Amino acid sequence: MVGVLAPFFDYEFMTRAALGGAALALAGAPLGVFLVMRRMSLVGDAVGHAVLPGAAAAALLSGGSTLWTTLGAALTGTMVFMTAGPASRALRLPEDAGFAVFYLAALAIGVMIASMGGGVIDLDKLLFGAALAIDNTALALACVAALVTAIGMTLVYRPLLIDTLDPQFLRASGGAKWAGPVAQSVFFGLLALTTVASFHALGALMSIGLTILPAIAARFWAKSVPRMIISAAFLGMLGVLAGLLVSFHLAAPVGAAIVSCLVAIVLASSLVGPNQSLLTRALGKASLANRAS
Amino acid sequence: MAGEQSPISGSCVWDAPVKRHRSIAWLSQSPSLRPDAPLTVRDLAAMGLWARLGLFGKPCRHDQDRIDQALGMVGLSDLENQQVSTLSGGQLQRALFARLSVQDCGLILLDEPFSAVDTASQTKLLEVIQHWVGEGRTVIAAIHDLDCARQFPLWWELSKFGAILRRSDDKPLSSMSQPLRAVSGVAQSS
Repeated sequence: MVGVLAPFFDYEFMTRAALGGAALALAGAPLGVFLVMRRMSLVGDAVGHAVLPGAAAAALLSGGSTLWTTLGAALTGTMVFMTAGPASRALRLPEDAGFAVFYLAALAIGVMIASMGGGVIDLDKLLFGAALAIDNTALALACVAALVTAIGMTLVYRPLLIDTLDPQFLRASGGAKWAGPVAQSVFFGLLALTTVASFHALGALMSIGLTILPAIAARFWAKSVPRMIISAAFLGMLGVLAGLLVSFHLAAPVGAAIVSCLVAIVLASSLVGPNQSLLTRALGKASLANRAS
Repeated sequence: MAGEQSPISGSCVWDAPVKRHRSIAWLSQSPSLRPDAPLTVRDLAAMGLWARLGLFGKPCRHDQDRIDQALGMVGLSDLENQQVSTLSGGQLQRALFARLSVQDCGLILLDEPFSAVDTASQTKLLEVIQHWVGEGRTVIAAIHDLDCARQFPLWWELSKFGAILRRSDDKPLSSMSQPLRAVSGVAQSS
């Protein structure tokens, strides 16, 4: 077992990538569970893509500084997130259609900006991330995201949960009127922070993967929301470590390797997880049939 | 009346004699609870404590007793650890009534409470309403089934446009200067 994990101890870049990835998995777990419950998995993805133009422009202007790239990413990500919803409503488009227009525009503009640098910017890195080249700023950002998300989600957990599961009740129950909007703002703020923090490791195309995929897998392991969050954190960290090892041994692109491992975890969970997986449902049907006969 | 929309004209005044009864509990016709919500029946009932407990308050022994009592009253004590997603329509409505009970409000508004409910559950829910009234709460329900509405001590039969067609007595309801629109029956018990 230790032999398998040896690369994490032998190579500093692997240690850093593992630490950064684990922090992002911790930050993503509660956010992902709520995103999935709110049926916003794809909206999260769209916002992830939307960081590209800001990141590319900032990288171009600052010569690739991590800090500026992060700020640029946060700027356009937030802008798209804040404008896509209201714009779709103003144009009477379904909300997901609005998000599609905005994130495709963001991707296209981002790619064009990145190519203007004449090869100064590594477009691959912006699109697919570079978890193995994660620097101190990006690592610190991941740890801050994990810490701030843990604190923020603890603060708004109750109103956010009620708002997610029964928004009408939250408004009509006689509790504080500000609770719902505040909880939502905190949640989306934390989501933006974590998406931007994940951007360095996984790139614009897959940054939301570490948030969403473990949360989807967690549904097959746990019934209650707190347990889903714990499962998601655990499965996310497992996926990061597995992905880094796959990438290390097969020389595969690291972001893609991590996301592939997370997808494999989702598939395995949906097949054999203890809650509502194909296996438990088949067993349940079989025992019903036995009882009937 | 629930305070969701401002009245077109007139006003609603709700002034409860007991301070903890000041707030209003409200159950709409189509509850916004997600059918796949990962909650147990007990969690759902406990949600009724939100207004009082806020962000961090811990439910005390008394709160737990109230949840037990509410679940017992709607006949869901056996199912308290079952997931909400597995309940039938009638059971879900009973669980939502348990949450209303836990909310401990003086005025309870029900919009079409029996529309998706089997007869057994309806009988149970009517008992619960009687119990609430016995505790000194006011219950106002909009009900399409006129026979059901006439089981309430006080009922008004309204036309589609809000005109009163028939009523069970002549007492004025001063607080209801703008009666519910577009309902065919309003029943109140107090």
